[in-house]
Formats: sequence, C-alpha cells, structure tokens
Amino acid sequence: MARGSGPRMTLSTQLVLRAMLAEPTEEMYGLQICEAAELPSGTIHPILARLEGCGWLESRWEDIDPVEEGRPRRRYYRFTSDGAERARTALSRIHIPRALESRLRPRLVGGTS
Amino acid sequence: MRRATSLRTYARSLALVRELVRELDYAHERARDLTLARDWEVVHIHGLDLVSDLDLTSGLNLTSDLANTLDHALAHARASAQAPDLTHARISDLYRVNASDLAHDLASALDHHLTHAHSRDLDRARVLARDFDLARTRAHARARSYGRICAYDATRVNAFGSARVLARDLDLACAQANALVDALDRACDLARDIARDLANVSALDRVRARAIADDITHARRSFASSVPSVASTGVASGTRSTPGRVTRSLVALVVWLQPAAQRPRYREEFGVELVELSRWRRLGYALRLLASAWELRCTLVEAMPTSDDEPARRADQ
Repeated sequence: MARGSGPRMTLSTQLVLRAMLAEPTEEMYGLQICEAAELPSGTIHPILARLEGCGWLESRWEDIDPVEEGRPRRRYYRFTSDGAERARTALSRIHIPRALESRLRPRLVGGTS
Repeated sequence: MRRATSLRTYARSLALVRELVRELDYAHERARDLTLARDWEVVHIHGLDLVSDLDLTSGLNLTSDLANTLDHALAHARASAQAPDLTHARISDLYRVNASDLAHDLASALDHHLTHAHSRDLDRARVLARDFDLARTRAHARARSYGRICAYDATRVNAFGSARVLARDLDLACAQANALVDALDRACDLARDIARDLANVSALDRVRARAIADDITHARRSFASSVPSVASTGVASGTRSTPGRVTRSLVALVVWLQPAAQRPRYREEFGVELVELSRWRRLGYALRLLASAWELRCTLVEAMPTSDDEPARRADQ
C-alpha cells in the first residue's frame, strides 16, 4: 500500500477513524479504540495496520516499567501530523446510508469541521 | 588471644549468615528468571519458532545455576548450624554471662530455625531444582524432535503436538517455580529471624549485625518487587489471570501467520490485549483475531517497508 493513497473506507474503518477523531491528539491503544468504536475486540488490527501503512496513523510502545506499573506495556496509536485532516476529508466525502446515520452521525460532532 | 579467637569465630558465623542471605536472594532471582522465561516463550513455542525453542532451553539452563546455588546455601546453612557449639566453647571462658546468652541464642536460632524449617525448605528447593533439570532435559529432547519434524515440513501437525507437550511441561515447571519462590520466601524470613537473634544477643559487633540487616532488607525488597510478577505469570500483575492454553495457542497461530518481521510486535501487542481482557472475553478475542489474521497479513505484506524504511522499523521494535 503506497503511503499517501487512502485506505478502503469500510464501515469498520469509518468507525475507527471517527472514534479516534473524537480526540484527534490523544493516543489510544487497541482495546480502547475497539471500545470507542463499538467494535468487537480483535477485529481492528487489520484496520490499524492499513491506516498505519497509509501514513494516517503512527504507533509506539508505551514507555513504562511493566513491573512498576503492574501490567505489560501497550501499543499506542495516534494520528500523524496530517493524518487527522486526511481522515476528516475522506470521511466528509462518504455518503452515509440512512440506516447507519444514527450510528455514525453522532461521532461527527467535534470530529469534523 | 582467646578473645581474638572467639571474635573470629563469631565473625565467621555472621559472615555465613550473610552469605546465606545473598545466596537465597540469588536463588530467588534464578527462579523468577525461569518463570519469566516460560511465560514469554510459551507463546513462541506454540508459534513453532525454532529460535524460541533455543531461548526456552537457555531459560531452563538457568535452573542449573539454581541447583548449584541452593547446594551452596544448604552447605553454608549447615556450617552455620555447627558454628554455635564452637562459639560457645571458645567464648564462654571470656564472656561468662554474655557468651552464654550469645551461644544460647545462636543455638536456638540456628538449631530450631535452620536445622528444621530452613533445611526442609532448602531440601524442597533442591527437589524442585532437580525437577527443573528434568524439564530442561525434556525441553532439549523436544527441541531436537521439533527441529527434525520441521525439517520435514509435511509432518507439521506432529510438530504442533510436540510443542504442546513442551508447553505443558513448562506450565508444570512454572508451578514448581512458584512453589520454589514460596519456599525461598520462607527461608528468607527464617534468615531474617536468625540475623535478628544475632543482632540482639550482644553488642559485640553491631556493625556486622547492621550489615546483615541491610542485606536482608535488600533481599526482602527484591522479594516484594518480584514475587507478584511471578505469581501473575509474567505480566507483572497481581490480579490478572493467565490466558488459557487454547486462547494462547490461537493467538500464537495468528502471530505465526504474520510476516516474520512483524511477529514480535504483534506477539506482544496481542499478548497485552489478551491479558487486559476479562477471562470470558478472551476466547472470543482470539477467534476474532484468527478470523482477521489473513487480512492483517495481507495488509502487512502490502505495506511492507522498502529497504530505506527498514532501519526505522527495526529501531521501533
């Protein structure tokens, strides 16, 4: 996947993007994104990998001492410098079927300009 | 002259106790290493990774050090147990009252604590160490068998079976390591009691007694920081339970399906999420991962970095 070309905007991809656009500067880890996007755990890694491959997202390991924190380190994802804007643009071009509006529209608030 | 001799004898007893504490501390570290090695490598084993087998073998090799360490510790403990008689015989002429108290307390501490409970714990630890050696031998055999099987790719199913048996052995070794840590914890408590007795009997050598107390405080701190991580089987948490074998195997399979360069990252990332999920959601998570494994692989292969990006990606890992 060439960096710069957009990902396929499947419904799941849209949900992930909208969940992350709610707080575009915040870092989120996998389970947190699942919860925010209301997607089942274990289904978003291909989406995250695709978005990362396109250069919309970047990820890093949490910088903690697992023994001190009492848990293993997480992999955090966040938008790249232009990733959030590109995501907003891509989402704004998508026609949302009426049946899905109730699920997707609320997330546009604050996520799009 | 006799006073100098008695002081030397007394100092020797103190040194032996300090040495014992150090050896126990070291033995505990080895046990923790083994447990951690098992927790992290079992995923590799299910993922049929030969390199991981080597890591596992080296992890189990640590148990040899443990056996030697415990042998030394036991020898020192026995030497300490014999010291009070010597101390009593030489000191009593010089310090009629204090020496009597000293000998009594030393004898009480070493005979009652060391001879009975402490030696029992250390003997138990030696048995556990022997079991670890057995596990290591089996791991070698499994690794050899696994290597042979992988050479004939057609029988990969058997390799899975072999790896599963190995993982079961390691589960057993982990349980034994936890028992060993408990035993060492009790042994350290007893060593602390002994040191307290030594510190109380006399003002002969307060500096040495303080050094013992420092050693024991250090050992206790080490226990406090490491035992919870052992109890939680490698995820450094006292409350989270270990994912089941089926779940771990599914996740390992998903990891194995990914491009080799990405496996370490996803092994850790999936492992973290698996641990953070509640017990009843883990199997579903693993199945969903499996369902999307091929899609993830295709995405990763498609997004495979060029040679220019490679150093950056490695640095990230």
